[in-house]
Amino acid sequence: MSMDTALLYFFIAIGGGFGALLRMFLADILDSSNGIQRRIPLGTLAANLIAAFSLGWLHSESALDLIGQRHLFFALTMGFSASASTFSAFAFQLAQMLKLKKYHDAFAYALISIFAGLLLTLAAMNL
Amino acid sequence: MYIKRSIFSDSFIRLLAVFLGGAIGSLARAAIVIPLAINPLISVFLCNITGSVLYIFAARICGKNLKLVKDFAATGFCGGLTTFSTVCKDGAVSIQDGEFLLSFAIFALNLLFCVASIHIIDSLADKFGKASK
Repeated sequence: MSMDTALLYFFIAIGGGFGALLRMFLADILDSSNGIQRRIPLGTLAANLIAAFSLGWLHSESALDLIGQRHLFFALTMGFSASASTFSAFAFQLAQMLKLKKYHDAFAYALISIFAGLLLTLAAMNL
Repeated sequence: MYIKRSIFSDSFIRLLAVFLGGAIGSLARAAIVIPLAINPLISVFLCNITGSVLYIFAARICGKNLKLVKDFAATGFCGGLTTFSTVCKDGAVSIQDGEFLLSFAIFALNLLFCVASIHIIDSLADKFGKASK
């Protein structure tokens, strides 16, 4: 492994660590057991949507002009944005909703996550 | 004074556990995605499936007692290994290219296999848990 590749992996790891922290903070703040949060895990939803928007923007032409450095680009895309979102917790929460027979909540959660994620990514990519 | 210091150190250790888990999870994903000469859609799918299976194991094994291990393994590592935003980006790129069916397939396959694998492992754990009592 070359020094450049090792440095690239290091940057991805650092970005990933900060992404995980952001996701944890959002879950801590928003995933309480009051009101709508009892039905839909807003922390994971917010983390996924913020990460989808930021990853979309990082692949837009305006961001590519700003971020010329390859290592920084990988740290922000493959590291931070990818790690700030999670598919495992999303799938786990859906499986738990289905287990508890909360079919409407599971359907709404999946639909909101996917459509809002797609729309935000598309909008950000065209900024 | 002592209580304040204790709370601070607990929070700091938790932050460190999530940070390290997220860093190692992202590193594992990069180690799967970058060197593999296969379609990136498949490598992200493999990461999501592996992370989902590990997540349910971590959640079942750690339960409510091993909170720090759960923070490291489930919140940190599995969250870092799996990614929702990359799936959205791949789906959005497919839509921009006019490949709507591929975009649907990316979401459907990731969602179906991850939820199904978690459900199967969770059900088996419930069944064997009851049988061993």
